[in-house]
Amino acid sequence: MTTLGSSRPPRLATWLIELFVSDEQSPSVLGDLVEEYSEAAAKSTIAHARRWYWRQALPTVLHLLRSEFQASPWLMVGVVTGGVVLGKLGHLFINWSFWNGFNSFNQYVFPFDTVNSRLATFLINSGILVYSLAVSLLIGCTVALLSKRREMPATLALSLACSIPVLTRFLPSFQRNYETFRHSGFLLQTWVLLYFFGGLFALVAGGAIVKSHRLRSRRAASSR
Amino acid sequence: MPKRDFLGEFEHIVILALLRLSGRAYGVTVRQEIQTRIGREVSIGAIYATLDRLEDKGYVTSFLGEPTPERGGRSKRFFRATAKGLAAVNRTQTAFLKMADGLRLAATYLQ
Repeated sequence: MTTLGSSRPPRLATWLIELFVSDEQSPSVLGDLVEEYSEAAAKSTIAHARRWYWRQALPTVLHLLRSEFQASPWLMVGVVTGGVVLGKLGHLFINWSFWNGFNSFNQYVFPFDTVNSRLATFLINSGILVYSLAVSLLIGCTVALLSKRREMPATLALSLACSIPVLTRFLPSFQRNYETFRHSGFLLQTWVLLYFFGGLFALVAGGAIVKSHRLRSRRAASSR
Repeated sequence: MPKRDFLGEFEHIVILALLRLSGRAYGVTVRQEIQTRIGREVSIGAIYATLDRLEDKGYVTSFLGEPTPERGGRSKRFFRATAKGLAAVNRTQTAFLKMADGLRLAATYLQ
């Protein structure tokens, strides 16, 4: 029994709520929102109903997130501590494995000495960036898997905890180099922001991937 | 008397809404009841976060209804105040009345 009227609530908002709402609350919260959305669409316009849905979705996510933190503070502390330790190990692993791999590669396959040095620096930095984003994503997925079905609160808490050292590195450097940053192009600005903050987003993305995968598996199991 | 025996402001409002709605209290009706009576627009997330907290404290109970097509095949979760919840409402209400007793609030505010 899954019939709805011709109009459906915004998919992105529904996906966001599904990510953050717990498994127990999901059917009732989403059901209530869909019911009121249909009422609003019937009484007024679909555009109005969609605006109403978004206005409900964002505070709902924040409230549910806060209640998840309050419901299991020790689990969150454990998960964040474990995640920070994993992050440190991951960082050491990145340094060790990247430079080992790069040196062998450079020695036998691609002699960087012959290439323009700025291009080489860019390629090395990009390689480190992509590699560290992949490791952050993996850490996010691991933390999400260990979080006892609280993927998003756990990875968000970890990301917030990790944002403190990131900000302490970023802010002084940003202050010093503000003029250079302001006059550099969009691409370089994006690259710098990604370099500092990409890992934090990758941690949360790891949580979103695990939760989305779990939701898909649950839906497939219930439709069988 | 234990420290956390009184209800918070929003908890108080939500339990009063459950009592007004009696058997038909679920997320949508509770939200609409609060909006109609006191003109306060709250999100469905705020209602559920509060109801879950109240359920943990034993002040309300919940049960699932049948899935319905207008809800995309999802069930309603109905809520009901327990005797303990009712006692908490009375205690909080009495505390407010005792604290306000003898105060001329409008006059105090105007001075």
